Amino acid sequence: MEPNKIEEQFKELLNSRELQPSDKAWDRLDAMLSVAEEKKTKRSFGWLYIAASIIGFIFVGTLFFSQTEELIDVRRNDVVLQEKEEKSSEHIIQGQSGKDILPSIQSQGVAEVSNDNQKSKNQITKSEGIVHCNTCPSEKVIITRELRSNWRSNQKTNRNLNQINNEKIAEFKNETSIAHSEIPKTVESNKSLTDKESILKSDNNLLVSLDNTAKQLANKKATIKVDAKSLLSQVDGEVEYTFREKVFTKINKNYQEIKVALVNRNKE
Amino acid sequence: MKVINLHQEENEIIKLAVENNRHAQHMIYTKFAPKMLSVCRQYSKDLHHAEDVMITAFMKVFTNLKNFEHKGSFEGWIRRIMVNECISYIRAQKKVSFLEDEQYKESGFNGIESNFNVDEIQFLVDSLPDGYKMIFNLYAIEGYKHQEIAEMLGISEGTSKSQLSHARKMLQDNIIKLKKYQNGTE
Repeated sequence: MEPNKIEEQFKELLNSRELQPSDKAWDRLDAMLSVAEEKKTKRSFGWLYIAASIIGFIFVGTLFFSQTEELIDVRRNDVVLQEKEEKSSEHIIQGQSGKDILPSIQSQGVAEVSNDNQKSKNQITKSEGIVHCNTCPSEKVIITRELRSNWRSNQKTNRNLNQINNEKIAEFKNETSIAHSEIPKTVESNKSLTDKESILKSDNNLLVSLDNTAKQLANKKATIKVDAKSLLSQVDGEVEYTFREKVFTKINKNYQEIKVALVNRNKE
Repeated sequence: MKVINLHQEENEIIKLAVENNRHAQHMIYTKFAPKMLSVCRQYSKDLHHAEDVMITAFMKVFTNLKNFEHKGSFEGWIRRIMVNECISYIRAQKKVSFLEDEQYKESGFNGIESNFNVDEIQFLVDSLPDGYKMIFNLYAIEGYKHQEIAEMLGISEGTSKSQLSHARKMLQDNIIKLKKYQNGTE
């Protein structure tokens, strides 16, 4: 099966042959090549657009996430501030209600009040009934001092709070002035009580004790105390009353409707 | 020195052609197109079809030029692309079918000598069926081995050999006929 002479002759002649292609052949090839190049360039531009869009998305995404983180931080700070405000406002409300006297700035003067004064005050409050002149417990004084230290650290943020607090203090002062005006009345009532017990005590002792109580009361800051339990019971009572009223009215209405319906039925 | 200079020139032209330099591509085309059209003509009777196949093959040459490793000859690389394109063209036309016939006699051109010119040789080759012609061209003209031909065409080696045997026998008969015709006319 080896190639013989004729095959070698065929090979030589055919391999040495050259056939000139037509003139249009190169034009066709040129056109095909240019079309292929256009496709390549289009593809490259397409990839460029895709790459640019991906980079853009990444950039926008990073910006978005970074902004959200900042916002979260700001919100956290707001929450902290709000909590502080709430705390301070709670203390102010407590001071107004009279349950817990926490005059924040005036606490220094209140802290000087002794336990003996408390006893005398309790006596006076018993006689008067509604109006109470409570003292400041030492624990609350400490809390107010802590609050003061916190406010000093956040002076910039708590300027508004301080303004409000000043207003409250002014109100509180007015209240205390009213209380002071009432103090002589209480003293008189005490006097009447002491007169009844004058058989056992000497006049001088009584005068001294009265003077002491008057001085102590002058140093005190008094507020109007509202009994929360009594208020709650009143409100509950009102609510129950309104509920009862509603029930009764409903029952009456239904009864009237049934009555009318029965009368109509009987008439028919 | 001249050979080295020619080789360097060819490499530079190839580099430019890889960069889609149309002038360099045209230079390659003008240099190799006549030989390659001759190769394509061996597989196709119609010169226009051969030219179409050659253009398509040149497109593949220029698009795959960056893969040329400069190890063998550039002409041989282009020639292989041309032959493969011719085979795929004939197969696409469904003109060829190989019978799985592995029974063959080793036949040669016994005592036949000829002084045919190229056109006469091309006429004799064209007289072969497409299957025979393909295997005869690949084996006798291009110099492929039966194993390579079998891999290229997706047939067994025995089929390639039997097809070549049939092609040779037919070609021998045609040579005798042609000689008789030439003698008669002379």
